[in-house]
Amino acid sequence: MSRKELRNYWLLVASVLFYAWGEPRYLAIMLITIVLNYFGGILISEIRYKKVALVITIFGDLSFLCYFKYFNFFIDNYNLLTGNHVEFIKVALPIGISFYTFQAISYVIDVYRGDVQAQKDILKLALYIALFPQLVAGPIIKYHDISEQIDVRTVNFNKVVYGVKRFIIGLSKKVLIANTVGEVADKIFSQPISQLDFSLSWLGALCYALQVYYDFSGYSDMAIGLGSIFGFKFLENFNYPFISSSISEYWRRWHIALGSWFRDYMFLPFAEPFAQSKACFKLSKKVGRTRAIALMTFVPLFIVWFCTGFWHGASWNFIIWGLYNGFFIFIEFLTGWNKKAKNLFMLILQHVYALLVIITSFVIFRSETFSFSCEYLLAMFAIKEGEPIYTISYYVDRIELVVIITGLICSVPIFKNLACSDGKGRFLLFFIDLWLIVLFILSSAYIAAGSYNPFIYFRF
Amino acid sequence: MSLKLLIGTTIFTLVVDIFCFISLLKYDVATLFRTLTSSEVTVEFTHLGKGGKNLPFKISFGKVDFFSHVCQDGKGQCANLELPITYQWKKEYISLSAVGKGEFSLKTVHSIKRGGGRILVDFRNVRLNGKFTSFDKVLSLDTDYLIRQKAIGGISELSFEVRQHHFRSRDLKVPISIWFVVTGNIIIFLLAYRIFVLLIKIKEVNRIDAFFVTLFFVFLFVPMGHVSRETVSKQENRALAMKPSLKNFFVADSDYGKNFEKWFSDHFYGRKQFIDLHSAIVSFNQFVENGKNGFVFNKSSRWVVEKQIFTHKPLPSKLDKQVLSSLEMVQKFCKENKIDFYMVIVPHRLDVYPNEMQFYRRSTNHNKLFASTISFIQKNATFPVIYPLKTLEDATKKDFVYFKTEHHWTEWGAFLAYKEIVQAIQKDFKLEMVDEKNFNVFYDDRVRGDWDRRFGLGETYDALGIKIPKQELLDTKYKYYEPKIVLQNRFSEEALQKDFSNSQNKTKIRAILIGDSFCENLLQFLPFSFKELRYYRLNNFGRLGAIKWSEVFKLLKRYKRNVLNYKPNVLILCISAGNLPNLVNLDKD
Repeated sequence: MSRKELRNYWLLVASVLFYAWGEPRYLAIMLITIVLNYFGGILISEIRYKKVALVITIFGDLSFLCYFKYFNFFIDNYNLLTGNHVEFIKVALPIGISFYTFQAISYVIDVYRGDVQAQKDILKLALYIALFPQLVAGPIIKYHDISEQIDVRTVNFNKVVYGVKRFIIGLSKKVLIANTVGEVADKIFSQPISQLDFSLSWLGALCYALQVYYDFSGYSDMAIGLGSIFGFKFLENFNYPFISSSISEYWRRWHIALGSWFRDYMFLPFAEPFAQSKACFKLSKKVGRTRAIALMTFVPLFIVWFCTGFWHGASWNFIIWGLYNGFFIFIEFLTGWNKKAKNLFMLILQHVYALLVIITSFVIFRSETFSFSCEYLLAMFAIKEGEPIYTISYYVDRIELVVIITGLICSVPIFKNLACSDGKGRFLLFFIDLWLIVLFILSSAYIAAGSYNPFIYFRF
Repeated sequence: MSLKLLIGTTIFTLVVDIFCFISLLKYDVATLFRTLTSSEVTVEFTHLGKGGKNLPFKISFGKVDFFSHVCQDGKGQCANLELPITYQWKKEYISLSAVGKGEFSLKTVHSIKRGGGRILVDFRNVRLNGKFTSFDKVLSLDTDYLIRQKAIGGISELSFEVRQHHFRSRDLKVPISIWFVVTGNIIIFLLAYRIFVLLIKIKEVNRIDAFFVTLFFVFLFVPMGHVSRETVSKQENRALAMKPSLKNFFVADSDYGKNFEKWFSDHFYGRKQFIDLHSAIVSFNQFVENGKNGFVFNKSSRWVVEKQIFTHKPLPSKLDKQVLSSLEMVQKFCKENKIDFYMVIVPHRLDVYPNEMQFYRRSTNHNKLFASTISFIQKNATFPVIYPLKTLEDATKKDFVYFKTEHHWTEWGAFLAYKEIVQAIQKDFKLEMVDEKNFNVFYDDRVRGDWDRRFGLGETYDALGIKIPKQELLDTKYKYYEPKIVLQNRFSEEALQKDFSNSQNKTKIRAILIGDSFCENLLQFLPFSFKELRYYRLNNFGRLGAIKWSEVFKLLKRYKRNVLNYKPNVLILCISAGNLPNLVNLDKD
């Protein structure tokens, strides 16, 4: 066994231990998924009825996901519709199941399409599905993007340096920015709607949008950084989504891995027959090609956005959030609003529109009930404002204000690639490295303080 | 081997040696440095009167007098004194004035420098009235330490020499063999040499980046370098997480990972320094907050408010009825057993001090805490309800009725409430009421609170992350009452009950007082008005142990039998306004 092969096995053992550390009981589910997809992949590549093997494997993958993530949601809706009282099942959601299930599906579809060969070494497939840097919180890595790296990859000092820097940036995003603005958002969203006015509701929505962005992009940075330390190159998952001028562009910049997964494995296969149909060509002559495609692929588009919302959680709120995004994308395609305007005024207008839709979509994403999100949106647009009891200093202290401003500045590409690109002067490099160490120490201090709960005793 | 490489490798090995050496010590690096600077040690003096009597005493230290108070365990009188200590021996003279015969104890309860970290203290030449005690040699203390000496009434002179403990090699807790050191050093040297050679070979490596990555991994692994074995954090007033057994991992315990994380988070090396750093950052705020449902400290007014109260919402009318019905069940039980039932609702500090407490409110015209519930009870109850809000509000103009930094009422606040309670009971019974002449009234900056008496020691301020010298924080003096005659009392830890008997009381009235922590200060006064008084603390978290929170307020279930056995004439239920929602459980089984 070569050293390179040994490296893979070590990484696999570490990944399995990492998963077992947090979720020992559900380790079996992940292992079954690996075995199922291993044999599924081999069957797809070797038997005549490839489609049958593909459908069975995907069905198997999704059945775990449906049981653990959606079963209670189905029961809840069944009870609501029928008036029955079927009891909920007591089950916890296995960590990372949404991510590794989609990775597994990506593998069998890639094999089915012939983009890659079926993996004969089950341990290598296991490494792909269970690779620890992205196992828990993504990004979802498509098999064809990484299959070669599993066999051949190099680990060098520059990759380690890059990985460490990305990791620190990700950690700081999560701990220093996301957690801090998250506290502000939590405070505001926990208030009764009668206590929210225009400014407060906007502050809450903005902070929540920043929280989700820095939280998730922070995790992605950490995963990319850890991957780099072990010689992998994962694709970027975020690309400054808040500078988008349309929702279509936003979804090319936000959670790129999930967006491209749904596009490659769901939307395109479903939409292509519609787009290539004679009816579509006929319609093109009347309304133009883009509009015709938009109109003809209306159904697949909304199915995909339904599923995107549903993937995020077993709740109607997430489904509405998905459809809300899908609706604006559909309108943009229909009106051509998805193309960047050349006129500066229009471009500004496009950015304002995109930000409005993005921030309001997060209100739907965050709210526990649809009625709350509606009332919250009414407060945001000053249609039905409440009367706050507390001053703004109750919600935002000085540090939180500094963090919110920092979060806003860093959400646009002013400092893009500053920390991780090559070719910088020695002084600048020294300054950046020093700054990253400071960020690492500050993040550690915040993590340490998180474990610090001095007054649990207090109960009046 | 080039000279540079040799020097570099040797320096690296020495650095590792120093790190290992420090890690092997019981003390962290910060503590080691602290021994070279000045600090403070808090010494607790206890006086236990002959025959277990609770006799107050006074300490004179320089020009300052300190008065004793009842010890936390209820046995004897205690007084704390902060002594500044340095690296050099310093002689201290203390005058102890006790009322009667008894036994003095001296112990270091805390030796904590502001900002954290425990220091060690050396004592020598401890003398009482000029005579050497058995402790005339140097004593190095890192745990509670006692010098017990019998003292006869009157004034006793105590002197001793004190300094910060000198760091000595014998403090090493891990015996190190020379072979272990030599072998370890050779291995470290060879490994370091190999790493340096590799680094030199990789010419394209940017040295700044190399330094950066090294620093990152050092910071990553240093926390594992020395895992603390402490089980309790005095600073945080809580037990630290226990290390989960590894066998739990192999039996697929889903909490193993979480528990391990909790344990590591509580014990990793440098945690305190990281927390101090966090506190320093947080202190940039005007209001210093602690924890999600923690406390807010206003740096300019120096009032502390429990953030939790901002979330209190008025109780629904249905719950008002439930609370009243639950109280009526207690009243019914009392009536059946010929006991008169009185209800005392302690006003919330927020309602008594709206201007000082409303850090965040847009207006101070707020609704009082559970105002509708209280008014509903007052209106509909068929038993006396004492709610001394007005009295306390009026009294704020004269003095502090609540602590600025703590949610309980002061002794003066409790004294005013006591008067109202007795006046209410006097309508049914002939009770005596004590007044100020029965007490030694004095002012002190101690905070006789519940969480905890540590405020007096400044530790809680450290925990709050308030980087202000504690002398400045404790600059408010509150009115205290020490009874001239100490009543006989007996505390049963097992039953969580305290019995007072007043032989000089001419009535034959027995009372039971049941309630929350606000009763503690009432006990300075209430027992004087009855022949006998028994006290039960409902939410005594420190000792409740196994009692679940849901069981705490089940008064009848917990105390029915005790009340019947005691056969009191009066039952007083004293509950703070914040606890009103919990009263729905009083009659629950």
